[in-house]
Amino acid sequence: MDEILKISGVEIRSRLWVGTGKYKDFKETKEAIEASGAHVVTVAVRRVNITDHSRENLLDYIDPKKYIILPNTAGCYTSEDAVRTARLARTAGISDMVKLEVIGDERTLLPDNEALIEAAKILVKEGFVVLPYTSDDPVVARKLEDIGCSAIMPLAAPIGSGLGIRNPYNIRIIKESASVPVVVDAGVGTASDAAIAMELGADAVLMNTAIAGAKYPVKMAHAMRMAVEAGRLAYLAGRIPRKLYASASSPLEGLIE
Amino acid sequence: MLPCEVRLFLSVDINVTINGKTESVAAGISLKSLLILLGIKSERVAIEYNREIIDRDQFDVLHLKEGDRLEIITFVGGGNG
Repeated sequence: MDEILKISGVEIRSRLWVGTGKYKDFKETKEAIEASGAHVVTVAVRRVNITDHSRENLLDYIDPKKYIILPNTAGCYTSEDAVRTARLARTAGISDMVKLEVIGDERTLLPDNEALIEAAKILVKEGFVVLPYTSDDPVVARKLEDIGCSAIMPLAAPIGSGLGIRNPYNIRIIKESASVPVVVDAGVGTASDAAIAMELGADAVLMNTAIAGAKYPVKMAHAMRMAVEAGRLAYLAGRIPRKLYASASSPLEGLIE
Repeated sequence: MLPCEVRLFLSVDINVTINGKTESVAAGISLKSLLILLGIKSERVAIEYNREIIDRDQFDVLHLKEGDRLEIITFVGGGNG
């Protein structure tokens, strides 16, 4: 039996976490989230459209009583903007949890780790449960944990790239060194990538584009759910070591002559 | 019939900036009334009033004046970046 994942004392009932961007409409968003079995759902913080009154709200489709709504600071390029966005999200939302992102480069959307650490320090001090999106750097991961972050969220590959786990060894090192949960965040392309992340020992995987951008998002959400479960189970079961030569699995005795 | 001072007060428009756009609103309108006017459900938004976050229970006691700047945010679909 697997232990229940906890983030800062909160029980998380899924190891697949999903984003809510890039879907055709809210109906598809809802169906994909349901198929994914995700308990944690991340959302962005943006200005209300004040000229279009007819627009529906995302939270009309994703019940905050059923899911853990995880606001993110996506789109922030400075620690000031990220802190400001996190504070607004806390006021509008229902929890102190924030997926902290400080982007350092428009083309790669890679994190600005220096600004990330700065923002994390401020938010931890203000009582936020900070889940930082970071590069797959074990030293940065350790620093984030040291300042009081409640999880580490290293990228598998750049956001939306679908390249899969580019540095599995770093993900393993981050996981082996961390005493807070490690959630692989961004870069997953298909189900096998999610399974690999879990086989490496990640506590959870967060994805958006891999599902929303698939030809059939609801089907892919289902595939990801199974992949994350399979990968987790394989990690717990313990894989065999890699060997250069064969090792027969049938008895060597009793062969006919 | 409202007293003359009140009617005069109500008829004056002021300019405030809402989400980066200049809008003309009645002087002294409360944040709560503004949200109703804009058709925004207050339970899913957060508001910065001149860069300061305003608690929801202050929405009906805070009245706007000329030059105020508001940021009204909500949650939208998004994952990373």
